[in-house]
Formats: sequence, C-alpha cells, structure tokens
Amino acid sequence: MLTAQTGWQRAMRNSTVRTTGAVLLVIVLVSLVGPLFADHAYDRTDLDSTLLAPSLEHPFGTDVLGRDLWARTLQGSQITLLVALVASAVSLVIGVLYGAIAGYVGGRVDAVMMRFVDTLYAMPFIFFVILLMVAFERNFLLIFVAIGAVNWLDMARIVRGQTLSIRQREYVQAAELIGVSKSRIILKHIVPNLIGVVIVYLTLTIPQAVLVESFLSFLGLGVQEPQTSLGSLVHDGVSHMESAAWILLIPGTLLAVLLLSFNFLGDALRDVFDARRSS
Amino acid sequence: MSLLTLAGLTIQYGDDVVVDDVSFEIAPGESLGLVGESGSGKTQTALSILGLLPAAATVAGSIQLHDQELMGASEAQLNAVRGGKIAMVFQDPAQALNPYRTLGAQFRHIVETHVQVFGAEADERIVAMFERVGLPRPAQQLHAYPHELSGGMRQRAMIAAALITKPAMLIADEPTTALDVTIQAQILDLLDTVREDTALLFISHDLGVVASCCERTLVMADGRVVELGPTRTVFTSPQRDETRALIAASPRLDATVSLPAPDDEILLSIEDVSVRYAQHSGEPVIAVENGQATLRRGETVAIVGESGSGKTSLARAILGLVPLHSGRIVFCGDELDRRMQARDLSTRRDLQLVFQDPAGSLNPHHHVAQLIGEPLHVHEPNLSADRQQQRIHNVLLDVGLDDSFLDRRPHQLSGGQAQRVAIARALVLAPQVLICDEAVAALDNTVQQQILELLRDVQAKTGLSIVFISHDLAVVCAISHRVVVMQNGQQVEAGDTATVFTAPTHPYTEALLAAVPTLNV
Repeated sequence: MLTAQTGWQRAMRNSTVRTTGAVLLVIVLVSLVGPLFADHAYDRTDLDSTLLAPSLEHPFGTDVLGRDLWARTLQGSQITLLVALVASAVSLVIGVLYGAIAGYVGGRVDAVMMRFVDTLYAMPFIFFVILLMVAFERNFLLIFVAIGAVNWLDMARIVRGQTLSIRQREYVQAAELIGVSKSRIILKHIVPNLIGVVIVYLTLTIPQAVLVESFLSFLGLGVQEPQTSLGSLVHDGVSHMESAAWILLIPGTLLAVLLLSFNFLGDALRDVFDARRSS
Repeated sequence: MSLLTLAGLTIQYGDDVVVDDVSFEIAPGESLGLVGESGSGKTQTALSILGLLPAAATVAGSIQLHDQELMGASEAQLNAVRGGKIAMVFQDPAQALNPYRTLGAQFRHIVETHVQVFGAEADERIVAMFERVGLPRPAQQLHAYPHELSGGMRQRAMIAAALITKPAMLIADEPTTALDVTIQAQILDLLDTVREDTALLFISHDLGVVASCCERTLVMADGRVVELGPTRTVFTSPQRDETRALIAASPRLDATVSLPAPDDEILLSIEDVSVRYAQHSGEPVIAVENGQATLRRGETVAIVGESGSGKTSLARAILGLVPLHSGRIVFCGDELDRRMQARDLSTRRDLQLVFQDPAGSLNPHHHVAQLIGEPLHVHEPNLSADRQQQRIHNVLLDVGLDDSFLDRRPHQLSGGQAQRVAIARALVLAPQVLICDEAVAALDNTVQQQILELLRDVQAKTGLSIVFISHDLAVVCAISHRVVVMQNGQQVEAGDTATVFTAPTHPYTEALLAAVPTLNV
C-alpha cells in the first residue's frame, strides 16, 4: 500500500515536487513568521506617507492610506492560503468520499445523492452567500463556509464518474468475489486509484477558490477592511496602476507564483502517484 | 532485386535497445513471417518501416523500398509510401476503423488520396474489392458502420482497405489474434489468395499461423534476428535454441500429458442452467441454454467455444455474478444461491476465480503481499501477522515465486508473474474449485505452458478441481480431463478430452479442430 512514508519518499525524488514544494513552503513560512518581525502593523494608516515607492523603511512601499504593503501582503497571503487550504480539505474529504460512495453503491442511493448535489448546484451562489450573511452575523469565516459548500460539488461529480469506470475493473470484481466489504472496497480499491484525477482536479479547485474569495471580497461580502487578501490587494492596486505600479505588481506576482506552484505541484504529484509510472 | 531491404536496423528507447541490428530482405510477391514472443521487437520493426514509431524512439540503420531510402524521409514522402506502396493491417479491426463514418466514406478517402479515382468509379472499385475479400452484400456495405459488422467481417474490410491501392507490400501485425479460430482460418486463406503479387510481411506470435501462410520465416528474440530461412526448414530443423524453445512451446493438439486421476465424488454439478440477459427493447438474449456439467473432486473440466458461445456466462453463473434464468447449481450436495451476495462466506471461499487479464485483475496500487493477503484478511481476520506471512510465503512458493516479490506492484511483474500472483490470491484460501476464465489467453506460449504446468502440479498436490474456460483447443488439450463444447449458448458435445479430440461427433467440434493452425508443415 501507499503508506505516508513511502509516498513522501517518492514525492521527494521528483525535482518539480521539491522545487514547487520549497516555493510554497517559503511563502507559507514568511507569511506566518514575517508579521512577528514587521515594524508596521498591517492596519495602521499614515496619511503623511501615502503611495510611497519601495524603500528600506517600507520594502513593498505603502498604499493610498499610507499602510505598509509588506505587512499587508503577509496578512493577505495568510488569508489566501487559508482559503486554499479549506477549499482543498473540503473537496478532498467530502467531495471524494461522497462521489466514491455514490458511484460505487449506485442505484437509488446514487440517484438521491447526486440529485442533492444538483440542487446545491442550482442555487445562485451570490444569493447563497447573502443568505448566509443574513442568517449569521457578518463574519469572514463565512467565506470558508460558502467556498467549502460549493467547492466539493465539482469534485463529487468528477469522482463519481471515475468511480463508475473503476468499479467495472476486474480487480474490483475480484475483491467482491473474495467477499471484501463495501467500505473496504471503496477505501482500499477505489479511492487509491482515484488519486491521479483527484490531485489534478484539486490543482484546478485551489485557484478557483482563491479567485472566488477575491471576487467576494470585491463585492464587500468577503474579507473586511482593514483585513485583506491577495485578491483584494490586486483589486486595490488596479486603481493606482499608473501612478504606483508596485501596488499591483507585487501582490499580483505573488498570487501568480502561488497559483503556478500549485498547478506544477499538482502535475508532478499526479505522476508520482501514478502506480504504473513510478518504479 | 529485392522489394524492401532492412540493413542494421536498431531501435532504442533511451538506453533500452528493443531492436538490435536487424537486417532482412523481402522480394516482390514474397510472404515473410516474423515470429517471436511479446517484447521480441517484431511490432517495433514493422512500425519503423512505415515511420510510425513514437518520437521517443532513436532509430539507426537503413530501410530501402526499391531504391528509395525511407530512413530520414520527410513526412510527405512517407505519406506517399503509407497506404499507397506499403499498407498495414492491425490486430484489432474494431480500433482501426472510425466508428462514426460509414465504410464507404472511409474507403472513398483512401481511393481518392492514393489512386486519384473519384465518385461512382471509386464506389465501383470499392464494391469490387469488397466482393474479392468475401464481404456479403458488397454494395450495401458502403453504407454500413463498423459496429454493424462482425469481427471477422471487419478484418475482411481492413484487408480490403489495405489492398485497394494495389500496394507493393502488405504488413499484417497479428491480424488474426483477436479472432476466433474458424474465422482465423478464413482470413488466413483470404490473405493468401487475395494479395496476388503483393508481398506480405506477416507478424505473429503463433507459429502455426505463420507455418500455414508464409514462404520464409524470420525468428526474433530479444530484438535480434535469431533465424531466417524457408518456413519448412526453420520449423523442421531449427538451428538455434530460441527457435527450438518457441517450437516446443507452440500448442499442439496431440500433446499427451499425464493428469492425476480424479475421485468419483461429484463436487459441483450444473443442472439445466439457463442464463438470459434482458435488453431494453425486444427479446432477452439467451446466453446459455440448458447447460449441464459435473465436476468431480480433483478433476479439470474445460468449457470451450468461440466468442459468444456462452462459456463465460456459464462460469459467471456458477460464481453467482450473473443471475440464473432457470436451473440449479449444486455444490457439495447443497443448492447454491443464485446471487453471489447471498452466499455465505464459506461457500464463496471454496469457489475462486482467475481472470483472463492478470494486469487488470490486480489492483495497481497494492503490493503482492497485500494482494494475496486480502482474502486472508476477509476470511480469517483473526490470523496473527506471523501466521498470515507464513501462509503468503507458502502460497508464493506453490506458484513458483518467492518472498522477493512481496513488495512489488503489478506493473513491476511480467505477464506470467502477474498471473501467478492472481493464482496465488485464488489459492491462498485453499478453495475446492478454481474457475479459470481464459486464464492463459493473454500470455506468451512459453509462459502459457508454465502456467498450465503450475495448475497441473497444484491439482496433483492438493486435489483441486478446476473449471477451465478457454477458446484455445490446444490449451484445453494440455490441462483437462473432460471437455464441454459450446456454440451459441448450446452444449454441442461433451466427453473425455481424448475422445472428443480424436473422434468428435458433432460437426462444429470437427470444424473447430480442423481450424486450429498447427506446425505440421
């Protein structure tokens, strides 16, 4: 079986995994540790020093309210990374299991489970978020609930489709003949053989979640000022693109590096976990 | 003056040399057979002639057609050769034809591109060609889609497509491997009569097939040319060990093997079993009608038939994988439930199955230890880790493997090793009956012989009873005590293997036996 340890060793032998993993790790560590050493708080305005270019005092410059962009970028990265983490966790746990169970059990169970997914799909997303805002008090945790609630739907559908083809494979039939229980077939025979598809799909889910988050923040439904995220920083930067390009370029580049790293990492991991390719 | 000359052809993938310094010539109109086991480089050699190798391959040497050097020729030059001067017929006709276009549309394209004949005149030529390859109702076939044709008819259509441009040479890569023996005999006959002065390069793993249709034979092993000469000479007085091994492993109908005598006790009996598949519209398909068979302890009963004969349905009915329409299956005196899920675990452990494709029946993510351990995990959950290891160790030895295979995954095993693991998984619970569904059909001849020997050994040692489903009469001859012949869901003949093979009473059995290509040159 693919134990955590051998999986890790195999992943580490792949140079793309090592490089993109290192890039992501650096971004995560800096965004977590950086604020402890920052001279400026991310929310302190200073109207005497607005739109300053990068300098020793302000490595990334300042924004239109004179807030230190280095501190704001670190704080924004934290939020963006958290969104990515929650979105992928929900997709992985709920989406994969839900899809695998629906696909493998089939019949009426499948029909009911997938109609539930269709119902959630049919709900207008923004309406859904506003509903949440009304029902609960305005809270940025609601973004995670909102993103989590929609993100696993795609994963569940993809996994179900894939499961339908895997359950026809002879090794699943062989397991059924031996008398292996349904839950064990799903966990041992179906889920491991979904890894390739799941990882690729996950790398598409993460950028999607990050973009949805910046979209919600833009509408005022997401992160609330003075808190920020990479998406909102980019949005703020657009209005000063001509006078102070760095306000757009710095968070924009970071967001691009982050998303590309996730994509490359996903591609490389798919190769690593493809049982037939690794030797 | 030779038609095609290969000199020093070498094909590499990275450091892996798959074809090593291969040289041979084909004269106009000649038929050359290229034989060897899988991985011997036969198909790679054939693909290189048409420049069809994947980009990862490094090719060296020379390939000359008449005076034209094909090695390093441009794509445009190669396209003029492909289909026009050299045509190819592939193994699986179902995959070589476009399912969304009619035969007429696909053939018109060939004729228009290579012969520059259009419209009604093109159709005329196509219909004439269909007639030559023996397609029934040739004019109507223009409007037929590939799925409307049977496997044999599709392969006839492929041969028609290859020959319609009057190529100088035809490359046929295992053209009959996917077909039933009686159809295979027809296609081989057709290839011989219809090609006229077209040279033939015939690639096959089956020596009998090559012996029946080729003037000269080239034997390949490990990417090298081992032997080349007139077919009769190569097969009657082989010079090299590799050739002798191939000949020894090639299936024959007169093989005499000593099988352990079975007990008298009847273990499994199939009584008036019928299997039907419901269709969305119309009548249900009758897969098996009134199947009757008994299996004694320590006996092997073979169920033979061509595709669609119902042999696999019968095996699946025994296992409870497809529901019975009528009849009963009695095991050890008790009637078995019709559905596998409703049978208790102890019955299920006594009936084990080995699939045709070893790679497909083993979970690619599991190690050998897990694969073989799974039945133990289910049926003997209280077994200690030590005892479980011991059991896996023993069964691996039984199937001719050892502990060094424990942490390998299926893709790290050869076809034969993977099938041994699949057999080990079936045997680890010490079942009373093993059902083998075409269990050696996907393997090379030498490996086939080894697996058959393994099954005979296990039977001699443990008194295992085997139901052996196969389309291959030579294989059946080497393993079974008794044989049941099926055709279109009906049992046409049953009896002792020796009796059925030497004195068949039903015309279908006779036809089957006559159609098997043998090495008697």
